[in-house]
Amino acid sequence: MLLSSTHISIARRGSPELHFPDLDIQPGQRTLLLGPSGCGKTTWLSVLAGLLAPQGRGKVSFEGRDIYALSPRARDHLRGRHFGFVFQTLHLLPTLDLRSNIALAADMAGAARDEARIDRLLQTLDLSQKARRKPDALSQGEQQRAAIARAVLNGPKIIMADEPTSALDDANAEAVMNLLGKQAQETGAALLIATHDNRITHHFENIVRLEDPHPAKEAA
Amino acid sequence: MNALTLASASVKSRPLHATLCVLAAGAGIALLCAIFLLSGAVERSFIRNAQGIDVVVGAKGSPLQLVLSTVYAADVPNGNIEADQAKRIEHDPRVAKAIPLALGDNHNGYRIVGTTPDYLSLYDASFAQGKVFEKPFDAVAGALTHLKTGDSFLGAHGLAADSDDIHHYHAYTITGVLKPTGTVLDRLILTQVESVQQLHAHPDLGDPDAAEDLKISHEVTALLLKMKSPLSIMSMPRQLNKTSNMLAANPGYEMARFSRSMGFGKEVLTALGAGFVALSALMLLSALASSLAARRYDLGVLRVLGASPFTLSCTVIAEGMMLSLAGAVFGILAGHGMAYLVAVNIDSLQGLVLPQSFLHFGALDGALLGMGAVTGLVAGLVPAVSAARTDIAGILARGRA
Repeated sequence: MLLSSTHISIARRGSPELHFPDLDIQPGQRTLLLGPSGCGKTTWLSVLAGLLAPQGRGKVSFEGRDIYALSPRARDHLRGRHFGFVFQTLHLLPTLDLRSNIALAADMAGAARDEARIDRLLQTLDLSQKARRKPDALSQGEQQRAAIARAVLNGPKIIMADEPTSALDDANAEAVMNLLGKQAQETGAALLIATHDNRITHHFENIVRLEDPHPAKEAA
Repeated sequence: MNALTLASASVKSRPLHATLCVLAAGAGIALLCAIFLLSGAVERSFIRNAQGIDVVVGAKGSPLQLVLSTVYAADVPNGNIEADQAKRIEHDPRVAKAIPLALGDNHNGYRIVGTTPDYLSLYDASFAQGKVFEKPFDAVAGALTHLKTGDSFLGAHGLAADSDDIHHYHAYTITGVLKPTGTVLDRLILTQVESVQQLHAHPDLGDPDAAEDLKISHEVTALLLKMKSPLSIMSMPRQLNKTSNMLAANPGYEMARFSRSMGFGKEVLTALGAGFVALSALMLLSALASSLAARRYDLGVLRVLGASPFTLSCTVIAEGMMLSLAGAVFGILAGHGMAYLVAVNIDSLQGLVLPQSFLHFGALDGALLGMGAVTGLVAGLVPAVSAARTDIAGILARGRA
């Protein structure tokens, strides 16, 4: 088992307590967390990534280790080395050029920077000519590809993506999913995507559906 | 990529904001730097100008005025003393060395001082050209007097540059020009005491000051004394002040009194400079805090990528220190520039301080650089703690604003 979570519940200030189903992810497996906006998908990803400790009996294990039993530094290190992230709104650092943004994954994880691998990723994702440009000089598609390059740079065991396609049209959504799938396959990483985007369900063998925690309120 | 390069990238991405922070941090340090440089130079100059002089003897009046006029050439003398009285003091067994000064004339505002070559040795003066005076009406020019060897000029009565009471009896000839010393010597023209006395013994026909001139021809203005023992430094002035019509003053004591009264102004300026530094620290804090608010999502991304809270804190502190250190460097350069311009443009400082000395860096600059670093550290501390406590999950859930 690569990643598993049991008895996860989270109470955030001003929000109802969220309960999440138990989850098991095998190495290389593609899992989709599907649910409407506000159902807690991002919060759950945060819990699974070691960024938000669950309450009570909640437990998240990575390769058999309870990640919340690790020291904060060890947890940060684990996340940096073995988790890759693609965020909802890309989140390249505007102050750094594209190459430095990709290299951040190695630098922040304390890993040696593999310049040759960065070059290969830039070439594979057709970004070589844009390597020294700042994010605001790139198209959204280029930024998306750069974010994916950063997520796979360290050869992570799991790639987590939060709404990677929601802002894209059908063709681009499909292109991004193909790219994510290909990169995950090449690195042998599991893929865990949280989204409300029903268009991409056919890319996944494991789909976990989340309920809206505010049905009464929304109905009203 | 580490905290330093991330901070550097952040600073570079907002040049206007960074420039304003640097200017704010630099303003206070520039003011402090200039104040410390100028006051330090003036204080050192006070000491250097009075070195080797234990007691000044002159006419009765204000002791501070006596010291300022004879040691610092910065005031008019109280009056003169009889040459015979001066001779008696010179031969007093308690006196190791006596240097007479005869003032009263000027050339283009530069005082003509009748004295002996011993006066030059007080300041370790050396010649840029020529040699010392050997006979009456030979003269040695200070470095700032714009005179050169071979120049000839007539002395004007009094100490004011615009005096039209010219002594036509005899012209002075420059036999030597001194190298700059950063002392009062740079603004003086030195000659034998006899030159001043002979000039006043031969007043021009119809000169209304003829009687006064004749009187001066038998007088000197003051004696600079080096005493044989510390005890006599105390006892001789006390005795002279009590039993003669002369005034004896201790330059060190008088200048210490003078510095104390001037010290208030320095304290006000120093407090002002420190206030500027404190204000710049607050501005920096505010700038870092607002920058942090704008970059919170970026910091969140760094945490997700494996950066520790400590790394985030270091990034914020590095940014603060980078700005404040750049401000300190700017402030130090500006402070030296300000001190130089003040020294060059304020006449009363010329000969008291060497402007070129402000173009060199020293321990003060190291201290100011340290102050800049501490300012950045203090200003960055609160935002740094806030960065370390960033609620990553909450930020990711809310998304970038």
